[in-house]
Amino acid sequence: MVKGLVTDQMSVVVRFHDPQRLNQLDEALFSLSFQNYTPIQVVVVVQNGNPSLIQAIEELISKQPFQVSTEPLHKVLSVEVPPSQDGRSILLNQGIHAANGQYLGFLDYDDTVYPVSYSLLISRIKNSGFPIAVGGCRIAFQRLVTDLKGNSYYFTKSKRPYLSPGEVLNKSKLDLFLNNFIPIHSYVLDRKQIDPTMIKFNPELSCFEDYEFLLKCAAQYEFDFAELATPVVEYRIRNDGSNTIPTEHNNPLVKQKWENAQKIIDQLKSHLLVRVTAQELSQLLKERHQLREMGIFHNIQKSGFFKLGRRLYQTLRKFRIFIFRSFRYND
Amino acid sequence: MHLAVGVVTYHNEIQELARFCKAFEIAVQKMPPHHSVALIWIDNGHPQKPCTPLSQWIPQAVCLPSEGNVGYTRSINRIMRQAFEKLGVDAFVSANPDGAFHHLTLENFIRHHLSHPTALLEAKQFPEEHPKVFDPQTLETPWSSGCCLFIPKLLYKTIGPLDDQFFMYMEDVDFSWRTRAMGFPVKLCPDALYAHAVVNRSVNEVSIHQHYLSARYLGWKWGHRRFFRWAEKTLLKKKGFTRQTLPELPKQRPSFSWKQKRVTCFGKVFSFGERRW
Repeated sequence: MVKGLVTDQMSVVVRFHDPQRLNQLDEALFSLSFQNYTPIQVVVVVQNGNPSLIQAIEELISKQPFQVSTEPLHKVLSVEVPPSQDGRSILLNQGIHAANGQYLGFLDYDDTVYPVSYSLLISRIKNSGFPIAVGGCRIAFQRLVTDLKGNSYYFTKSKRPYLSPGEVLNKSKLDLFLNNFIPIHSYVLDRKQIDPTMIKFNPELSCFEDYEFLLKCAAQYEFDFAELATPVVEYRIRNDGSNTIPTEHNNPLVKQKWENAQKIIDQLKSHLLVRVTAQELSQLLKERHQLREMGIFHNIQKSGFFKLGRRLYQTLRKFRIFIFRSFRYND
Repeated sequence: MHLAVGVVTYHNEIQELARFCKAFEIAVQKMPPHHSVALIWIDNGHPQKPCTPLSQWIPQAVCLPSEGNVGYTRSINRIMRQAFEKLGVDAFVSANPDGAFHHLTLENFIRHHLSHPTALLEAKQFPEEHPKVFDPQTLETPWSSGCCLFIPKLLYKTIGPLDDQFFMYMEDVDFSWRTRAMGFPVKLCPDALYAHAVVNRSVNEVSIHQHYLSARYLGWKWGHRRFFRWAEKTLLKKKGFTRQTLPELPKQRPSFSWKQKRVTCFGKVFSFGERRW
């Protein structure tokens, strides 16, 4: 347990690296100030921020209707990152170091959280006794438009749940070992229950850093998924390429970065020891057995729906690899 | 420009009101010095369980005497009358006390008002905005939510106050339709944010009843028989009302021409228009 943590305080680490996008940070901070849960500490970590930018962010925080507190809770830090390096993990680690709340969450400057988010997830942590509670997420598809008066703004074209209702029902911690379905801002950690050395992002990673972190957590701790169907955060996808996560897979450099990150993840999966309960394991084996009984493997190979079948087959293959490689039957 | 912000409280929690007042103060500070804003409020709560006075946070807030739970619309009309007729404001902003202004909302409202002086303006709810459609270029929308609404003096003089036959809910839809029926635009201001918790909000039986009662009156007022009958039938069959307990409708129905009625949209149940999601 970390000493000096403020009991019941929620700390949110917000990473920020683009001074041109202060208006998006403003919205993220506004959503944090409108939380039902108090007290909330905001730690904004800026990549290579100059004093004027730091001051501008501090002013932005002071303009939000946060609950009045007697001491200055919120912090703005600048972290020097070489221009050649992507500092997203370094920013998070510095933010974690500066945050002193019992509960910890993360938020990218271009996303938002719904008012019930932290109160709901913290109540789940208290009820279940698990150190990590996960909530649901919605994706908002936005495009940059200009109105007749020449003002530009993001127009939300549509929204949809990050996971479909069917997917939500079937998710468990073990599904994380197949792929990541938990956006970085949709969970809260109880730092009093987690080994402090665990709460650290891999600085070598500039993609999948959140997935690697979750995999390590999932290997040792229980997750509460009771509120996975309740949207608590919004993940915004914009058409102007301003998202914090690089998505231009056609760019060879970006592609290379994703591939390297994937290798690190695969490597981790190959030696990560996972603690699971016997019940979870038996459930998993039962499901696998049922799939075999249904003859899905056979049907897929013979079916004409190659595209669908192939995708399903690959998922099931990963599932098999997951069973035989990622698990050591130590429980 | 002289503005008035009107708030009707009803058993609101002290934290909610503190947050509203803090956000209001910040938004007012952010405005250029030649503008001024007054805050007027009424508590509709039970006299034995009154809300904490807003003057605790904003000493200049004007409190109008409570008449008990007479309905949101009647109280907001009293506030609007006070603002336009006694204080002589240029525009009125109605705001829900369970929300909060963004620090730029009032400033952006004024900016939009100067560009579109005859328009009824609506703030964008945040973080979950209302899913109803609006034109990304002209910003026009079929109706505006009363959660945070900017009403210029010209509109008040021409359209009149909200229809207080609506106890609560859908008075904003009716007001927007009347605005559009008179040829004035209704616009959404995408950069005027108003924080309001809509996702995961618990809905109680009383508010569902009120929705159907308002729907019944709205259908009757605009002469949409099917919608009126549907709302009335739901109240009678599912909500425990009888013919005797249903509120009496006014004797005379307002007359709207077929052209004016074209602004309405009853086909989408309580959405009153197309939705983006």
